[in-house]
Amino acid sequence: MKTIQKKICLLGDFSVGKTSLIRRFVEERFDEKYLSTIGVHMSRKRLERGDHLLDFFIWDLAGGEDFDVIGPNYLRGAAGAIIVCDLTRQDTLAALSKYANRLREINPKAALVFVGNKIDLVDERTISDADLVVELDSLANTYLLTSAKTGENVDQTFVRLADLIEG
Amino acid sequence: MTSPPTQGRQPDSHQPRQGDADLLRAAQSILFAQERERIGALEKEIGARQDAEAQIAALQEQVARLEAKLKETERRQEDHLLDLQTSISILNYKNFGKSESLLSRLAPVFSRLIGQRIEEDRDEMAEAFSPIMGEAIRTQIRNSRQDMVDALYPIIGAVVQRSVADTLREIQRNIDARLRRTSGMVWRSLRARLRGVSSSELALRDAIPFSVRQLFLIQHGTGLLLASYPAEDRELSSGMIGGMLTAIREFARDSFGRGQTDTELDEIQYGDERIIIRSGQHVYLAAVIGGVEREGFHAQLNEFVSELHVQHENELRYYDGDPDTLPPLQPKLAQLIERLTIAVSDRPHPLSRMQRWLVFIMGVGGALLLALACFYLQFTIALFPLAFPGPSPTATGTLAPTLTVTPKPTMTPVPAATAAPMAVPTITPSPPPTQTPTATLTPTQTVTPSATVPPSITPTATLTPTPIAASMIGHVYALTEPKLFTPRAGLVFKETAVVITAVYDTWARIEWADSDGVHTGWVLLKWINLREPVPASLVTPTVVGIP
Repeated sequence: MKTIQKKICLLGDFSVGKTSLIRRFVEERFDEKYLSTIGVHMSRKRLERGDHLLDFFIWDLAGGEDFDVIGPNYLRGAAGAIIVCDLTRQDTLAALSKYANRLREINPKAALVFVGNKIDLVDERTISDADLVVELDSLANTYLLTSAKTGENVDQTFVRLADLIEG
Repeated sequence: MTSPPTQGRQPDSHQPRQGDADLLRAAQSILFAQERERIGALEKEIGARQDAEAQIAALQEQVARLEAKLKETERRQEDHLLDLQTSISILNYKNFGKSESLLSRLAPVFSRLIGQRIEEDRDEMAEAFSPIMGEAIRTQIRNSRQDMVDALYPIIGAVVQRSVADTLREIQRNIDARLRRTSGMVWRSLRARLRGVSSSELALRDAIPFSVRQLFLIQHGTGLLLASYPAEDRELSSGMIGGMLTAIREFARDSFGRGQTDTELDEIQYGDERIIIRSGQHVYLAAVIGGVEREGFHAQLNEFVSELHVQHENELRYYDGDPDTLPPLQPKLAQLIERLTIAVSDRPHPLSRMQRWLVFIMGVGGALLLALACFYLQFTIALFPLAFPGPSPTATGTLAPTLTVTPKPTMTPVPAATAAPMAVPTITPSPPPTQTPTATLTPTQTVTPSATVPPSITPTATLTPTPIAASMIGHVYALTEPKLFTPRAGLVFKETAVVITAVYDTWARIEWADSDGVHTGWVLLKWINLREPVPASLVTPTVVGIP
């Protein structure tokens, strides 16, 4: 069976749960410890897509202030990206547009999936669905609410991205 | 007295009465009905005509207005045309008269158009511009060399710097390789010892093997693996290597490249393995090697990458992860690794400096020896006739070595004479020698000299030609020399058996025997009945000493 390779990126501010999402998706488990990514962390996940296999090479980029320096080279050639915010931190919401625009500057055709992570922390949630709709309005994109801890919508997020890339 | 005028008026007898008037009106209406109708019709006709006239007048007025307007328009157009012509003249003067001004005005427009076109279809623009790029660059260099130098310096400088660095590394490897190859040489050991390297360390250094363990072809940017050889059992790790290598290279470029896009990581060492990276425009080749690579290894990798880009530029550039869009790359990697391996194991090693000197000296010595041999041979050939002069047809000291008749002392050595042409045995008389052993006749017996010949003379026949037997076809006087009017050597009768010992021109030297013994003399060939052709060895084309 033919195997198609695609490079995708995980983007988002510090500690929004990017690495945890990848771990849940790739290794199907969740590490409670926070692992600060330095530079880039590489993962690979194979999806069965009907008549072919799709290999996602997932680049987990360091978030935060270093993005402006190290980001562009890592984003080059990415077929798509998952941009993550932390539903318990309002300040991570505005970064969604920043990362999306940055990626589109480099890869105009890149597919994007937005994610509000940590849906399991219901009591601490500070970003509402309305906030997400307003923030993503200009980007004309929908979003998914995920929990790396429980695994909710994690697989669906990557499948959505695969659909967009191959759509 | 009269009545006041205010009284009531009395009926006038001359005025018609009311009834008459009605009658009159009735009669009038009856009598003038037709006229009235005609009058009405005429009135209507008049009204219609008046309306038509009014419309005509209105139309005429409208036409007049239109004509006026048209004239006004024409006048305006003429004015406008004049204005335009004036403007064009001014523009021509301003723009065409000053092409630089025109260029400066049009340049932004063209730049924008070209930029837009490039954005829309980069490939098409590249195709369109490519034929003239070389000429354009040459023209630009010719016109403004310094500008081009300034523009290209950052690129060329980096390329030169990289090339020089590569060359230096190659030189280092070359020196290293030569050091390894000169094993056993005292000189090398001495050099190693001078540098504090022991023999065992030197041997260890020689023992370090070199191998190409794996090749990876990876796309820039995405880090997607296009092909690898040998194929990894663990497909996952192969795929990840591409991404990780790319990430590491990007990290190195960001961290150490100081913003320069043309500097990149080209070697990674991990334990006893090294990853040599050679980059092309769209993909790069990573070779995992062990040991110290030989000289020319990097050049081969560079050549492979360049050739790959020349052959499959579009496929490499637009690769999006679908393997169906790629040419078969794994066989190419297999061929490359085979070439590299063969080159490493079987390729003849370049000679060291000392070996080259030895080869050079041996070559020069061999050439000298060959030249000397040629000279000696030529010299010998040239001096041979002088050292060993040829036979003279005037020889008088003759001998018939093949005959069995008891020889008589007829040999009369003449000091000045030379041997008879090609048929004189070697005779070394003492005192003075009279013959030179150059004859070709092979005598078969040893002639015992007579009393007139010193007993010490022992002819040693070394002649080889075989005389041929013949017979005379007439009675002929044999002469002492192959020339008419020379002294006679004797009479030879018809049908006498003779032996031809030499031939000169039309003459043959014969030997015959009779009761008086063996005689020798020259006769014309035409008197001899040849039973077989005269062999070339008996024929003397030039005879020394013939008068």
